[in-house]
Amino acid sequence: MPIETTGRDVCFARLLFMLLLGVLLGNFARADEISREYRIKAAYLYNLSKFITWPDEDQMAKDAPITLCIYGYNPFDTYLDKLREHPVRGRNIAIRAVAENESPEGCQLLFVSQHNANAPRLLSAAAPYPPILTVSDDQDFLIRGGMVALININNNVQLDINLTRAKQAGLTFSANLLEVAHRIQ
Amino acid sequence: MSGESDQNKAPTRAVFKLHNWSISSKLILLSLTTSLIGLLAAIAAIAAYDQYSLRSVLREEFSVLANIIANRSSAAVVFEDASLAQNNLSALQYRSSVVLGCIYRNVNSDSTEKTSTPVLLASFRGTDDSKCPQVRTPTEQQINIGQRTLEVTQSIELDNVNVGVLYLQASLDETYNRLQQKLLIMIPVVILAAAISVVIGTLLSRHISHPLKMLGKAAALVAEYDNYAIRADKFSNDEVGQVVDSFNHMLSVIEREDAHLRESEEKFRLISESSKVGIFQLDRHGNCIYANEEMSKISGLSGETLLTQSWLSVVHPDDKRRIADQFQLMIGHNAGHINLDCSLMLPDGSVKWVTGDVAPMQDAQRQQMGYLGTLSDISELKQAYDQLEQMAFYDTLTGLANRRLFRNRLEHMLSNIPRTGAGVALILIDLDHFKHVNDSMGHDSGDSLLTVISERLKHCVRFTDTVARLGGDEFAVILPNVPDTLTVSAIAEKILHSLSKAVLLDDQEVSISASMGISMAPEDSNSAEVLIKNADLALYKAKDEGRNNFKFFTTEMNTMLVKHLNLVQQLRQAIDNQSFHLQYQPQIDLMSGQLVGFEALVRWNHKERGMISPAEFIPAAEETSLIIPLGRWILRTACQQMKAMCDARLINNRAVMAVNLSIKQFEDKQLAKFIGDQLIEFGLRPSQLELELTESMLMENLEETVETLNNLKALGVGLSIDDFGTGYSSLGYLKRLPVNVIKVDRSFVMDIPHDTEDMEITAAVIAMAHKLRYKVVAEGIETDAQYQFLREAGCDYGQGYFFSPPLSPDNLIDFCREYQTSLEEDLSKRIT
Repeated sequence: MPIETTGRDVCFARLLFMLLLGVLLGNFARADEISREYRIKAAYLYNLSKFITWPDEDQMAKDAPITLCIYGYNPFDTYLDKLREHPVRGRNIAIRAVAENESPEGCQLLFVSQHNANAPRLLSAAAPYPPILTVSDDQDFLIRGGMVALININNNVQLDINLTRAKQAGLTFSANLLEVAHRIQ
Repeated sequence: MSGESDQNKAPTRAVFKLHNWSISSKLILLSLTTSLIGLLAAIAAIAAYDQYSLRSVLREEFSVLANIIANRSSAAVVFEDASLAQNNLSALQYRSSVVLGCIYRNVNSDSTEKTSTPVLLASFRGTDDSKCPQVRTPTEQQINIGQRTLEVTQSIELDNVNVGVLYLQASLDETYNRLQQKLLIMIPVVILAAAISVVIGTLLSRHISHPLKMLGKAAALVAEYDNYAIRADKFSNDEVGQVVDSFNHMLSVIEREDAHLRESEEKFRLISESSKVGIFQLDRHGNCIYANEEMSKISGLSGETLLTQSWLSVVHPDDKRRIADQFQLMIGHNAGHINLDCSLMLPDGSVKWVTGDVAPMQDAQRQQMGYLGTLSDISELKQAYDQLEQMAFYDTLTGLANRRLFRNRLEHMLSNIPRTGAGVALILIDLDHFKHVNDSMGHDSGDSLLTVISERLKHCVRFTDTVARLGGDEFAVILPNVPDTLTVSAIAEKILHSLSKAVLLDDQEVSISASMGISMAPEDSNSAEVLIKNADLALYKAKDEGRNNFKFFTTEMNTMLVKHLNLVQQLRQAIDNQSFHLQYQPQIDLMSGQLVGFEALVRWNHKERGMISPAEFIPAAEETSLIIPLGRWILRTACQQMKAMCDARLINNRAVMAVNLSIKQFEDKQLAKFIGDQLIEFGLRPSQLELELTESMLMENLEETVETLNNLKALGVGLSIDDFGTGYSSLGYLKRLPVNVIKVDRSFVMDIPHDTEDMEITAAVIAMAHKLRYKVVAEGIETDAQYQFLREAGCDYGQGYFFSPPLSPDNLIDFCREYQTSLEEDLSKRIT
């Protein structure tokens, strides 16, 4: 159910300013410097993990990290490494790159960039689905069988959530997260 | 509030005089105040609690509210969903008190940095003018409650990380409004409660004060009518009821006490009124407040006068000062009990003697109540006492001091000698031959004579001197303050002279004389006893020396007395030891020369002093009545001798034994019987015994003597008068005596033949005796001339040394024999 939001003008103006600044500075930026859009998306990934409960989380060792896997192309470069300093529910975040042919086993969260949107093997894996939260910034990710899509609407990042698929994978979504979702299937 | 207005109704001044209020007013006030204070306190407590609880509720409410909103807003903050945040805040619109609600998003200036700045994400405005403030990120929830507002700052957290801030602000005006409304509702409640409390107070006070009023009324009635039988009504069983019970019980006790009091008052009145003693009561100042009837009788004042002017007004002027002083002492100085012994001078002029006392009266608490006094009329007692004193100390016949008073005064005067230094003289006076007057003229005349004598004695002495009658015809005069014996002898002379004047008794002139013995203090003695004894000795001496004179005591008299007393002592022993013996002097018939009898003469051969003259020891024996046993012994011994001589035929049975008899022996009432017994025992005829009596002795007490003599005469014994001619006996008296024989005293015979006058008297006496048919015996014939003369004169019998001296019994026998022989020879010569 789409939820109407207000105050977007302010956000928009700010984002625009940040974008312009980023474009201007982009040429001179170092290799690890990424666009503001991916920085927001990185924050989204991190914050998403806080609203999601994994089914085997209780069985995991105390110091076992929440593994955040990047499938294929990594648009965040090394920016995600910063997340390691921010634990989620007492667990550190581990960043792992998953190759295109590699099995995502051991990942809690699997980000698939829009550049790898057609990774049918991974997404069409038949049930039972592994308890891996699949996130992508592909607009049609949910149609392809993903769980959370970070979509750009009016230069603002919004969430589309396939709650059915997530439940099938045994993941629990916080009501608060659902409230901020743009679309829920 | 309403309580204050109620109190203000009463005048402010009266509030301070609360004790003047009636109990009901006080009770109403109490009830009102209590209820108001209670209510106001309750209201205040409720309001305070309300305020507190409302705030507390509000605080909790907002705490929960903030928590919910913060929780719900975490995703909105994290994903910067302002519309969602706004949406969350919009719920606040249903809380009218909320003024402001703001949600901030923490923006990290640097994602690595911990510090963050809250940036407003969404807000809710209850009022137009409110604006979200700058906030700091709180560590947890913070709630601030001010006077008017409540602020909540709540951190919005996600996975224990602060992601934003929620700020809520609410107005407290609503709670205050609710409190105000409650208080407004309370006002009518308070007024209602005050009204109810006044009503209850009134009812309660009526319930309490009514019985009290009735109790007061009952007490007033008791006081008004002095009637302790009245009882108060009881309305309840509470404390007031108990007071009523106590009051009634008290009345019962008082009623009983009152009855007792009335009874005892009545008793006291009866006792007091019937008392023969005057009773009076004084108040503390000495004013008379009660006096019984007897007081009126005693004082002669009416009851009212007694109360107004007191009986002291009739106290005799002589005693007034003393009695007034005593009263002053008692009342002014609490001197206690005083005795009243004084005389009264009644308004009618009569004088009474009274006695009594006054003593302070104290109640049970020892408080001075006044004085109670008694008074008795002792006038009669006083008179009797005076009479008694008169009798005790004065001679009833003459009014002179009696022996007791004499003795008192003498001792008193003697005790004064050391102080005054002046001498005291004591004169003892004895009337000479007073017995004669009594005997010859009767006792009444004797009494009259004594009265006259006492008057004369009184005239002879000074006022300060004492004249006393010691008894019978004995008088005494005490002369105090006499300088010397010369003065005393002058007074004694005066007395002698005064008494020697003839007294006219029953138309007869009677002459009387007196003998006086005088002793002087302190010269002779300071002791009354010794002084009297000395004066007595001197008196004795005066009498001894022929009466009608006075003698001063001398120490020789004392010596004589000692000798005399020794003599008496030895005499007594001599009688016990029978140291006496008899000698017999023959009596010769002057005509015939025949031996006609003997005179028995007693002799005392003292083992130390030798022979003692009868003239010395017979008076001593007479004085001490030793003469009675001595006389009996003489009589018996003489009779025995007579018997022996008769038996020896030395004398014929006409011979007579003459025995001297003292008049003192007449005191022996058994004398006649004794003599009769002796006659019978020794077989003598009465005519063989002749009793000789001295003329002067006979005259002393003639009547009794004559009676005794007649008794003796009746025995048949002869009686003779010894020493005839020495006394004053008239022939008239002589004739009354039953006498046979007269003995002419040796003093007449002694001078024969030298004194012709005596010779004539002797001859005349002999002639006269013969006329009266008395036989005459002459004593002391020593010479032949005397013998011849007496024989010539017709004297019947004679005795003396011319014939024979007194002889011892042995010598007497010889004499009898020889005389018989010589007489026979003489006869035979005459015949031849």
